[in-house]
Amino acid sequence: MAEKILVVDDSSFMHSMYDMVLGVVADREVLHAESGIEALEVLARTPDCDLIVLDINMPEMNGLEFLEQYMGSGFPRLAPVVISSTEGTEDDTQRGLDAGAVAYLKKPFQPSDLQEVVRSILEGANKQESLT
Amino acid sequence: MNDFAQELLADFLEEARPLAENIGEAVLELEREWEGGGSGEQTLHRIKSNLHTLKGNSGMMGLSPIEQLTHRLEDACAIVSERAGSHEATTIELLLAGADALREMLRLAAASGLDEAHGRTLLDPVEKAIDAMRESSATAPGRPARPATSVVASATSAAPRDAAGNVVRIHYDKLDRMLELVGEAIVAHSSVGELTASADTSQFERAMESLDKSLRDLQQTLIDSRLVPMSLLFRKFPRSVRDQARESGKDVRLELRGEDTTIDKAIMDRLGEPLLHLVRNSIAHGIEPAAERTRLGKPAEGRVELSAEHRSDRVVIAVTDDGRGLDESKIRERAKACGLSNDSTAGELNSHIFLPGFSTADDVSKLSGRGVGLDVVASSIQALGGTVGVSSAPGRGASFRIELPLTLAVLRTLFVDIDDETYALPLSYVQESFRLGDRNPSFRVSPGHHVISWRDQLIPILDGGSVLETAGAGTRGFCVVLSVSGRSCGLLVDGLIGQREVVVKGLDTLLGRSDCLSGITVLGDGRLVFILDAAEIAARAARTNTPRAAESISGAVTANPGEEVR
Repeated sequence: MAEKILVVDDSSFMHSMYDMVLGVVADREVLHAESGIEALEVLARTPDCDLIVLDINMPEMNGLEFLEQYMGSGFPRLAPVVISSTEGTEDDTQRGLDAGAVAYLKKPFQPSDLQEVVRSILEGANKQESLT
Repeated sequence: MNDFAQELLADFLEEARPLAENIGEAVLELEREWEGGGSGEQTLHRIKSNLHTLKGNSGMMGLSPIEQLTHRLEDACAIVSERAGSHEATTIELLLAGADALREMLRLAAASGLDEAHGRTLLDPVEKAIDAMRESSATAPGRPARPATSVVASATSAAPRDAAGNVVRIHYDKLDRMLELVGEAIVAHSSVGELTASADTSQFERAMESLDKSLRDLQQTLIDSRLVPMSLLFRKFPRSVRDQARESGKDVRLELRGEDTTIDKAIMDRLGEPLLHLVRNSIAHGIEPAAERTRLGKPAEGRVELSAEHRSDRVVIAVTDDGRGLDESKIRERAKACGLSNDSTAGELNSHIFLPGFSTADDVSKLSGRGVGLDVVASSIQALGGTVGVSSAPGRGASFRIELPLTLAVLRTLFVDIDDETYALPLSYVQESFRLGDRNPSFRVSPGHHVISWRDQLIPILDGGSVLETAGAGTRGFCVVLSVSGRSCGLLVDGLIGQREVVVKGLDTLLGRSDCLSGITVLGDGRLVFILDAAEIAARAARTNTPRAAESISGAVTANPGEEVR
């Protein structure tokens, strides 16, 4: 079954970047949302999302507000969240981890770092599933 | 750079360039808010947010000069936030210089590449200025004073440059529609094919109509995708106006109207320079210094309006100011000195300012130091298939009007016959066409100069054959009334063929220039048809015919209606 990764970021360039780094794997689908609000809509439509990469610094609904809403949303299954943080936003990153994000990745990051984090989370999740 | 990297860079730039523009605009907004006593908090937040995105993205791209610059500018913004209430003008200059450096770095990254050394050169002055700002004690809060000297070396004044690369953004829906239409066209095309094979002419017309419609719709959709809003160009002006106003010590407010008006991107890209020149002209020569304006009972702040609107299938762009207007006596003097006709109306005299060599050398150098005169503006606009005109009210202001076709690519024209050749007239300039007869008697004003009566006016007319210098002896049975920048004239032709859409190609210079031809088009059957330059024809008609002479014989018309002189 195809892996689904949702990328939430208000920068269209970052989306291109994520597509190039994450989307080249067969059997994987990269979904895109440009705001927290759009992300919630996509997730409502896609109950089997496997991982979320989340930018904090977004207008309207920022990453932390999205995380709060998502965690308290009552969705049957919550995907693990990786925060994409930038220098100077360490407080926000900590708040995100406190709110339930499983990992963070500091920009600028190498494509290999991103792939590594994604792979380890997805494998960890698979392991968990196969145990239940 | 490999394909992936190239594509990524293109994506980066496509997002970064508008962000950098936004930052520049936001700084100007911040300045206005501070001058009005506001805190500018939201605008500052917007600037920080954009810088933050650029910092992250440029870091991902490995463009470290940009990453460092945006980081430093974020620092500067943080200092500004801390010193809330202290709105120093030097801060604005610093942020503007930072925005300029950012734009330059992006330009380099797009062109030859942004190397460390070059990046350093751009980054250093900004860093120094921010360090200075950090060390200086905050001045008392209040309205910012005009800086006597800039803290940072003044960056190049932002001349309107090519908007966001050679790219247009097109909505997916449009692309889908185009695919649909191509599909329909292919279907219609194959029906036509089948019908030709079976020689069933009855259905032929219907199939052709259907094919025709699909192709037209497709063409229109494609044309529409070339249209971009004028705001992309207009947004570059507030900075230039601000800088020039400060340099010349005048108080000027720029107003924008009709920014949503769409225009072909190819045309808009070439409009920047001439438009900038007209705006600078208004500020340099039109708007009076604040003290003089107050003396005259005008508001101290001068007003320059940049506007755009659609009229039938043209776009009209105007630069209007409430300054002193054109100096008509000076123009009249200059016209005499140049040996130009003296008995012209004010309107005609004013249009002389677009002639080459008309502006005196010191006028031109005062303006932009580049030796660009209004004649270059006029020829740039004409090269785009448009016209420029001016109207002025002494003491109240002046308005420069540019009229342009909506698209360079496809032109709606009227096909006419002159001396056994077919020519195309741009439909946007055609007011009306009629058969010559007793109801429109033409009168000879003086040898070679004619006027004709049309809608209760007397308008100058030109013979098509003499305009084109063809030796033929066709019978001029029709008159096509052309209207350019508010003035009408008639062109006498042998016959009217009908309306046609043509794809315009420029004239090859090898063919030898003819002033009255503006382009050439190839018809479906391979024939070449010249496109007539309506603006040039109208100008020629105006030059050889004067309304005063026309007026003197209108008396004769009322006295002897129906008299015709050939």
